[in-house]
Amino acid sequence: MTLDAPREGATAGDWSRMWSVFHHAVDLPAAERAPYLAVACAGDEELRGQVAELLDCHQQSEGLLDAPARFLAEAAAELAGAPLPPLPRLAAGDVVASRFEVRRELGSGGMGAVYEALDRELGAAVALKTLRPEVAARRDARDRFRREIHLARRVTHPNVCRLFDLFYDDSRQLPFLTMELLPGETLAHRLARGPLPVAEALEVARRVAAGLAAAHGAGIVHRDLTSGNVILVDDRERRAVITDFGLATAADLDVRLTLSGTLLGTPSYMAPEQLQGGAASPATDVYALGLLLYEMTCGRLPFTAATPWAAALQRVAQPAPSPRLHQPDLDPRWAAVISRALERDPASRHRDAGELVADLAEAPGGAEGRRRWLIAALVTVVMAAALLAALSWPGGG
Amino acid sequence: MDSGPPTPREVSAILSSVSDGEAPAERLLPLLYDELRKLARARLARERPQSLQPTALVHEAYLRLLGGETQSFANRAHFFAAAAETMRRILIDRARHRRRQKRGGGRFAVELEEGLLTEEPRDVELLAVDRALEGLQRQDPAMAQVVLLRVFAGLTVEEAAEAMGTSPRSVDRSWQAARAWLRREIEREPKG
Repeated sequence: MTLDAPREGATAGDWSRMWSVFHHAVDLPAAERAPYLAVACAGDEELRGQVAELLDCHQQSEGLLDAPARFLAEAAAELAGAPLPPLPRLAAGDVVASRFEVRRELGSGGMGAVYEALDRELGAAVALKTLRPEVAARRDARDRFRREIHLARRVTHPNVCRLFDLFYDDSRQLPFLTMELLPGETLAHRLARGPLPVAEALEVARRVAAGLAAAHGAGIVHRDLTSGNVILVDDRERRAVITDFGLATAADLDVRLTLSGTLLGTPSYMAPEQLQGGAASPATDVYALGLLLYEMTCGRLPFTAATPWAAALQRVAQPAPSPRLHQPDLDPRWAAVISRALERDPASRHRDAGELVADLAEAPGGAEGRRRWLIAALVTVVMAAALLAALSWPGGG
Repeated sequence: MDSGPPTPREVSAILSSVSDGEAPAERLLPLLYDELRKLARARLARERPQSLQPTALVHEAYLRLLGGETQSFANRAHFFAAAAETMRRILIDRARHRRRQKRGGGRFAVELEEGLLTEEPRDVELLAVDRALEGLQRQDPAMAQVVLLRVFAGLTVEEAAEAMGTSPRSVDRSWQAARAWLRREIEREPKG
């Protein structure tokens, strides 16, 4: 057998024997390989030569194919065509639409960046959000944004960030949104420092759920609720406020693109039906709220994997493990509420955030507990008053 | 002719029509190409090119095309084989294209020799691996399959074992052997 020719002439027997000897030899300490080969290939010099050469190659083959991602990642980028232009950045002092003076960048994400700006007209600070040009450049974008913003503005609730205006800066060819400026940090930032104490997590959840309930009541589904767009406001009550309502829908001109892509959705939080191209409903937000609750109480999401998409595959294929697995102290009733919110079938979840809030309130330590205490206090006061009245009545008569 | 994207059921049907050991259905490749391209494009809107993980793309394509329904083991195997084959074709076409451009520059031989050590070792390595892999495919399809899944679909040993219905240890052994064999074939190739 010559080594230069393809080994198509080798019989299956030759081939498997060669590898059998190879594998035995590989498992041996280096010093013992040659003696082993001499024994194993006694009388078959060609085989001995083949395996010896393969063993040499084996030593040098470390790294030959070890890092496929090295060139695959680049190919994947190529596959996608030219990379999108970077997000245009604004600097402090820039003035947008002759009215909003940028003070500083607050953060940036998949859809755009957010800045703190001064509204020169009103002399008030606002949050100024830029939208990625490719989001805004799509057909019908203006109309759709206008419609969604219009809808979103109808929701006035302390737990929903107020949207002010949508406008285009013609010189920059970019759309901007202005909204309520909320001093504080995102829930994602807070969670990076570890899970919340259960009582605090439940308080945040209740507020987020209340905000969602108000929006659902107005017929609006968030569709991209994540810990990144819940803001914990630096005020006395540590109010939790949901931002970016309506934006996912507004930007979703091509349903398929958004669903297949991660252009707007955040795969770590997308509900199974979103991942599978189904329609989003209030139950979709309920799922995301379930994930938030899970994350706040357990300090992690129910599924973790090397990539967000591998985790997404798990969310679609497997039921979520109980949060009590990671947080045994969690009240079983709370755990049940979270698990129900995370049902894969939207029909099995709470119908909307309102129903979830009600369920949360039922559990011990929830609002229901406080209400009972209030009622008890009230009853006591009334009885005391009645007693007082009864006692004073004869004296008065 | 086609109206709209295929449903998970249609994709399942195509996968089921592929019999074991057969090359992935040609019908599936354009579909996967299209899907992978779209996914990659969407991801690039958020991520830097360096962070694009082909494994993630392949898993994402699986999810998109097949939904979360439980697939038969054979369907899973065929899907990942087809995805790996798609990625392989993309990579090879691209490497060939770049190489043709280099040839046009007229300094090809020098560049190739230097390239092996420094500049663009990937294209040269990739094309050599691919040629050797074709030989391996004829000699030992199962061993070649391990390489395809590991290298071109980016699957881990465990994932490849699952996709092939075999043990991780067996995949690991095949992987070791295939690497040694490919290395030898590449070394034996006449240079230039």
